[in-house]
Amino acid sequence: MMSSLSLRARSNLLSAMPKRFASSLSASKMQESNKQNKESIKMTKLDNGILVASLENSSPISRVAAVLNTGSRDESHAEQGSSHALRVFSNLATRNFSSFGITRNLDQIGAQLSISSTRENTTYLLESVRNNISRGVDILSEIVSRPELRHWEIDDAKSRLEFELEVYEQQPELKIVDMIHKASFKNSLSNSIYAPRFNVPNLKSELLSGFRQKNFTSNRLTLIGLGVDHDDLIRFADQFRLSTASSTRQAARFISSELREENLDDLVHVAIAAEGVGQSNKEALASAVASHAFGSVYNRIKYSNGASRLSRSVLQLAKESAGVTSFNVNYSDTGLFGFHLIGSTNDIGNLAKGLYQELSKVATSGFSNEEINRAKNSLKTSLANSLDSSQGFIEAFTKGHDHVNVEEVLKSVDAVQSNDVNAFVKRVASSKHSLAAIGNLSELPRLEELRV
Amino acid sequence: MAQLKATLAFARKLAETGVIKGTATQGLNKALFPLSKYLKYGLLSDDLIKENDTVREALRRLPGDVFQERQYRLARAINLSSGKSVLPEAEWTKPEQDVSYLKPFIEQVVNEQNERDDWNAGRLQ
Repeated sequence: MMSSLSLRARSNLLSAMPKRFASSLSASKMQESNKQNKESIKMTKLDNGILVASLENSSPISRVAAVLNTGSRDESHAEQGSSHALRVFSNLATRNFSSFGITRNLDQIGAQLSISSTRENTTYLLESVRNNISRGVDILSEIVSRPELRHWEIDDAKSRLEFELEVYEQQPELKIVDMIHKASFKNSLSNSIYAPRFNVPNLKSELLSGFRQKNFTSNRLTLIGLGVDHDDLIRFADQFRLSTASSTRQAARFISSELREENLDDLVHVAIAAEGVGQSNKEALASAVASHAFGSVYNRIKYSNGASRLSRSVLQLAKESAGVTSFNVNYSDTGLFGFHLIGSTNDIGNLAKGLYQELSKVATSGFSNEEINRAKNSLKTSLANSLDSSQGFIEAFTKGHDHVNVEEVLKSVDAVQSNDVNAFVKRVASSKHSLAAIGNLSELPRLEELRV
Repeated sequence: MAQLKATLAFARKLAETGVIKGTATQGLNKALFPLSKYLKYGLLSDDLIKENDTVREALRRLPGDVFQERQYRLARAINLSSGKSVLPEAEWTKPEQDVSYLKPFIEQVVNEQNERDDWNAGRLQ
């Protein structure tokens, strides 16, 4: 069982090849699909609040994802790290299965169960051969709704949690993401998706049960089935008995602050961010286009610095190896738009100043039409690529039910106006910023000095 | 009674979830109880279970305070036995206090071991 994580609610960009499994069940269907006769998504909202959605994708592998609209942002101060702990402890005994039984049963039916969580969502994904899906769902529903969280099993598994923290602390590129969130938000979204060390001793059975009781509720559960019959999925939903309390979510508030962690690493990571837009905001696509126009991780050519706006301008200021990209995250009520700089101790100050110069240049004169078209193309490619994979599909569906229709998504990207993109960048350049940095910061000016 | 409070509370919780049923207040246990000697030392019947690997694992799973009370009772009993005396009659274990706090854990450990053996021997579920 894997315990994976996704830092931002983003797609798995490593699945570059579109996957098409020819299934013996659906040989006849393949002929029909040539005429673009795709199945559509069926959705049902049950009385207890669970949303059930299914799509027939003619794959020999059935997938059932239980997505809970809760994550690290719902942790109170005392509960920090609960979502990380629940992620690590998800294979422990449930009411009707022992931990050993879960592993062996899943192996026996040839199924894979993985759990990944972001700041806002926790996804339990079961992948299994079509015939065995109901046995797999027995186990999935137990893990989601009836974990026992026995105190000795948690004590035994603590070392796994600590191992994950050790690995995390050695990766500044992961730490910088959590640090920029901590610097940019006063609450909720400032929580890291990793447990803070000071709270690890408190992550005990009662605290975790309390967190589950409050946040793992029926109205926050979405069951997504790919390659599963819709009526079957509705029957499966009966096994997911969660608390029916209604849960409220704290609104995230942006704040401008600076978080610097000093050490002697010569490779310095800096992130600068401004408040972005939420998923349902009409500017959401404009923010994504803006990020692609600056240069993001999605439109990089492997092993090269690329020809993005940031590479051609800011990166040239570096004397030693460096990297500059922009990032854009859209959460449910707000977002984060910013830049990630990596450079050596002596270069990082110039890179940061160069970044601000480039940002104000784009804010005043805007992107050219050619740059915007290029950005739209790379955005369309990355969205289409992610929708090609099951995990990308599930993530997209969680963000918005209309985010999964490829043709509509591509059309809406095309409909983004250059004025909107440039207006967005103008706003980002003039609004409050926050800064996070880790490494040898001797040459890195403070945020106040950078903004003049 | 400091030596029994947490154990009794814990046993009540176990009884609520239906894990254990009765104490020494029914049937054969009720008849045999006054004839036993362990009650004179203030021990519970589960305190006397001989330790082997299974029991040790079950003891590991006891909540901290229940385990400490068990240690207290055992230490007191050893003390009494070495001084060849018993507790005053007021402090003898009452039948309703003789809760079975350890047996459920022993059963759980045994079941887990059986499950592992079944799977490894190919007797699939």
